[in-house]
Amino acid sequence: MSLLAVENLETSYTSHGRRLKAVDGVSFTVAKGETVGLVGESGCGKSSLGKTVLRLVPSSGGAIRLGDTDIAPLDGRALIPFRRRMQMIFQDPFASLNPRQTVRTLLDTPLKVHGITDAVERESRINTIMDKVGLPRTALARYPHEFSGGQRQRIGIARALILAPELIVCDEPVSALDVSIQAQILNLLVDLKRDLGLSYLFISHDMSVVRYFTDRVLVMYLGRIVESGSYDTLWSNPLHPYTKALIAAVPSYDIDKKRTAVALKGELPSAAQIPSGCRFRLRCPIAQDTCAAQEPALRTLPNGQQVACHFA
Amino acid sequence: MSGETSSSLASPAAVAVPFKPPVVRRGLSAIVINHPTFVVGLAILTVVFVLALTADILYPGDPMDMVGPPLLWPFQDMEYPLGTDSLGRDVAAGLVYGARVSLIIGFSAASIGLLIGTLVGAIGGFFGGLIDNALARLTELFQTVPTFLLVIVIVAIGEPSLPVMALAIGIASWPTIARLVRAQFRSLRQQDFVMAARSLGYSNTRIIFMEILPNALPPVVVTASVMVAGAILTETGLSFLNMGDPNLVSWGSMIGGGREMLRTAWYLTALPGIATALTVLALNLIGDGLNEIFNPRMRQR
Repeated sequence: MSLLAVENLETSYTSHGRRLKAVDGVSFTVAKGETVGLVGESGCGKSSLGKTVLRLVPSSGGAIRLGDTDIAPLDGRALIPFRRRMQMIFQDPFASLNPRQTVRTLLDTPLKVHGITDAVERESRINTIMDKVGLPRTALARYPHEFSGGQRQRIGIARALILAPELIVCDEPVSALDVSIQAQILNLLVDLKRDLGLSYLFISHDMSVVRYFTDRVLVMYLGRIVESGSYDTLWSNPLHPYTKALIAAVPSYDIDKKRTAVALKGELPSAAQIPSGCRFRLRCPIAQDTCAAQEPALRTLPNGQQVACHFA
Repeated sequence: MSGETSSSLASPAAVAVPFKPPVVRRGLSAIVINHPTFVVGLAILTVVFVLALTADILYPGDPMDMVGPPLLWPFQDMEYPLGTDSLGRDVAAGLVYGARVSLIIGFSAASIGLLIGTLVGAIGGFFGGLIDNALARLTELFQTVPTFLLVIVIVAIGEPSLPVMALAIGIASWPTIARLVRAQFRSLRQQDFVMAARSLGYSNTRIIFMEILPNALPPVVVTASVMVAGAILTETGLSFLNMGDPNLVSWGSMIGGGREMLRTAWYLTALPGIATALTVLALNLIGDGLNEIFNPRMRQR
């Protein structure tokens, strides 16, 4: 039984009178205790997908099942009990914390909103979380601008955890941090997952970060999943040319290793002008005439790997 | 000179001079040093405030009463240091009581404008869509009507009393605030911390008032101080036109009363005029100062 099951999810925005689909028919599951990585270039719809799953952005089609309930049609008050079961860790630790609230207020308000009226219990929960994310209690009285980027991200993580959620959407949680801090935060996320039995949907544009702790990886291109599989299969045997290019882009310490794949040409097309047939064909090194005529379906291979390419 | 420089460079004592970090001042002293005009504005306004508050003690009795011979020039009789008007009323007493009227009108009108403007701007900016469209049109409608005319009409319909005038000026001046707050809300509602608040299940009311509004306030406070100045000017204008409260001495009515004797007794218009100008200047200096203090690009960490 999966914790989260997303079926055929669509998210569309209206921009200058034109509708564009940022997420176009995506299905995947996240099991309890599993970490699913979601990779792709900037603008491919990863963040939109994450925010749609959390119902921060309205979906325009499909289902989001959290446990037994489809939360996509829910609204307002009906959604509140589900809110505490899933939370988000944001990319930018400077924009995601209200600059006019102390750390205590940042952590205390969610508990108040979710009906924990006992001040002693709130205090003990806050202290537990502060210990868990490795922040001193003295930090509670301070404002976000008094902290470094890494510490702020710890505050963001503490806020995401304060309601004891089951699923955390991590939207590029380390890409705004210094490289030296990234490992600390990633280690913290691994520890928290182990201690609290969390499930992560881990969004990143960086394969080497995803490699660090995901069980399964979804590769997204222009609003669709083009390949998915366990991390090991994907790393050793990428089938989709886009996945190959992403893996080739990860810097290697092995100087003798020859780069097998060429760098991608061109830019990610706008979601308002999706190419006919295969979405990737304009930038694909192995594209044929079929690719323009027919969109490849996401096929499941015997080893569980899924790929959407005519030639894979 | 050059020899001195080279010797000091060579001497080890010069190297050993400890590095003094630049003094970073914080809090009140930093404001006094970095924003002198703000302090001047605050000082002037404080004087006006103190005079207004102590009017009863300084000049017990009605400032409308005749107390001395008419048209005494300032300093002619030290019992009436700023002179008397054509009816023998003490100009100094009038100024002090007028300060009271000006400040009451200024602050209450600005508060009313602030309340309406913030509500309209916050709701429109936060919810967007149809609600925002309707409220933006309403704001524009009020903005196209000249403020002073609207105030005159409202006061003419009602009665020329302080509450009616404050309400009229407030109703005529909220669109500026509404537009400002709306713009702030439109940019702030996209921020990640608002997204986080929604994912935590906060209600819209909580997000508007507890999350976004505190962050939208700095430019609003700046504009509010200028609004107080505008309200004082509008009240002065109304009283000058004899549309103010006839039972109260105000700077506007004093200027209006002295108008006929502008050539023979110009001090009758000049003194309340200077009082108005100084108060308005003080409020503008405070507004500018607050703008500098709140502006993050000028703020020192």
